[in-house]
Amino acid sequence: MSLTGPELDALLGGLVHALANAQTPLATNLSSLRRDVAGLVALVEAWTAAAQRPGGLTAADLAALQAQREALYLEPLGPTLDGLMSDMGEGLRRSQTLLRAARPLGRWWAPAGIVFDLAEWWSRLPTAGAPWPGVEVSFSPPAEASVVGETRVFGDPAHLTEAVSQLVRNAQRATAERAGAGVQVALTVEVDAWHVRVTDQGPGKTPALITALAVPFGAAAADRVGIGLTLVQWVARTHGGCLTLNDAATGGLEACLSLSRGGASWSEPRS
Amino acid sequence: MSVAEPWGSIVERAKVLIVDDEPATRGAVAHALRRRFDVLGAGDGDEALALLAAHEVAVVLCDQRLPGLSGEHLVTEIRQRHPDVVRLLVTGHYDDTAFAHAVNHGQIFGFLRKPWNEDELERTIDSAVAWRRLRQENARIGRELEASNERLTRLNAELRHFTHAVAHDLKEPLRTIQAFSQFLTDDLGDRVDEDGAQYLSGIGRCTGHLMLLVDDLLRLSELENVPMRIAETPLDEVFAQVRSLLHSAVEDRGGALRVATSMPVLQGDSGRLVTLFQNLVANGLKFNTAPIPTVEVTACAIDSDCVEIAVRDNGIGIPAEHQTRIFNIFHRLHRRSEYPGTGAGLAIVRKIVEAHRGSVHVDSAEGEGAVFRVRLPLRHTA
Repeated sequence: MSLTGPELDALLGGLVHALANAQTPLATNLSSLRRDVAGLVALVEAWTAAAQRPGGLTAADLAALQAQREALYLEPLGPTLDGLMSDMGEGLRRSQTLLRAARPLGRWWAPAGIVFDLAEWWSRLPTAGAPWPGVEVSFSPPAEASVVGETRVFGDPAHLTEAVSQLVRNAQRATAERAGAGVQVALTVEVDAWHVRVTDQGPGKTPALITALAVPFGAAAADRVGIGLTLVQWVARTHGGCLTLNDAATGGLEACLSLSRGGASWSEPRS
Repeated sequence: MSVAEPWGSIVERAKVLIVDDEPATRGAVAHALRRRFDVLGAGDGDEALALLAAHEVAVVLCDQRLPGLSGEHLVTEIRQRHPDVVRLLVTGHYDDTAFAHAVNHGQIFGFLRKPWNEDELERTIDSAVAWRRLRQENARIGRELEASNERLTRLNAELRHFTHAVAHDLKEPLRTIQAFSQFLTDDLGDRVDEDGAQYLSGIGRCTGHLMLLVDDLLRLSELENVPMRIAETPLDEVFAQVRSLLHSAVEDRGGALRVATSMPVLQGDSGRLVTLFQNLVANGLKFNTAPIPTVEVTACAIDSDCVEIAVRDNGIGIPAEHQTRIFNIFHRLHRRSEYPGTGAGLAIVRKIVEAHRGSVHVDSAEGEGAVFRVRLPLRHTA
């Protein structure tokens, strides 16, 4: 199953909106500064022309030049010039970040499903040692008692790995500034379904998180893109499952990726 | 951000509020508009509402995607709390549902797409400010007009009562003067010389004319003061009464009154309609030098709601330049010695027609008679 029209619309709409937001200060400040510079050039030219006249500057010249200078409203310009330039640079960087994040989205268009063994896939997931440093990650591999029958499932292991990694990265960020806070990741396999639960001890289900869940590229923070949870949702849906976010009983957030073992929407399993 | 960002400094300038969660966008707008507007900034709906409560903002520029209250809901809230503030919605990506909500519920003035061109931004805000000033000016003129109307209505009512009272109070002493001058004429008889007889006759003529004037004034004021009695009124019956009232006048002039058969039935005040057509027919006979003064009355439907009654005479006609003024009270085209009367008849006609929500006009040329066309609705509306 591939992305639906509304999903694609939301994705492109979110990207366009985020790019427009990033470029607004860039375009507006550029235009403002061009006007300011043009005004300054005109002032300098007027000053030069007056000074070069025989007899030099008169009191009337000075008054006219002063009026011309005041009309430029230069006072607010000085202190904010650095800020304007910085905002423009930030807008440019933000645009580049968004475009960089958008470039690989095509590979999420349609997953490539195969039958694979969950236990084996689970054992090869990144561990706390390498790609997820800094925060302790504990795995709870499927207990024999909770596994009914074999552990083979149908799906796209690469997409699923990326989805779980994304949830772990989010959990790591949520707990990064909290000393002693940890992240737990648990896999449970049932007859028809399997679940990955990522629990952290961060601030829980915040409004920003709800926005990020609903709006692609809708991240409020400057250092975030806001596409991660959208991708996890797509992976969940294309595997016949869903993503739920809830405040954890122990505090923090519990993100649960619940998936169908057969991939409800996959008509012809391929191996 | 919880306080106003004090960009700009001239307090008389229009205040613009930019609501956007991106500080860089707020700063850019403030910088771009600083020469002409005072710009305030808010990062979300709550801050925006707090600033609107504290400042007299002319225009609010509201991003559609905001944390918490969305842009389209914020403009709706602003419309309810501060209807005078002109609202503009801004977005980087057109969302038709949000836009429809903003138009239908927030009644936004316009829509700006990010990233905007600076000229476009300034033009849009200029238009919004101008529109607000125009709306405020309209409201002020409306209030003034309403006050003037009330004052005029009051003065008009006072004038009506005054006219009625004066006419009523004049009548009694006039009648006394008329009676005493008659006593003098009767009692002194031939004991007064020729001059004395002329003076007495002059007093009699003048008081007689004054009585007519007072009667017309009273009739006019009654038209204003006495409520209409609306009922289904067959015009056949109206013209039967007119014929009866003017029987002597027609006979005296050796004239003719011809009324079409099967006249329509309409909702009106039958007494006033009789007065209306009595005046028109009497005028047709009076201002007439034909060997057989003749007045013809016909009716035709204009549409399903309106009928036109034409009163046509073969009289002296009315010059074109006087045709619009003849309905003014006491406006006369001829000397009283030529054609007696007060000049109130057609003013009474117009008042009755207007009270019935109708219209009257005249087609005429000097020496070629006149046609008075009275249009009346078949159903009366208050």
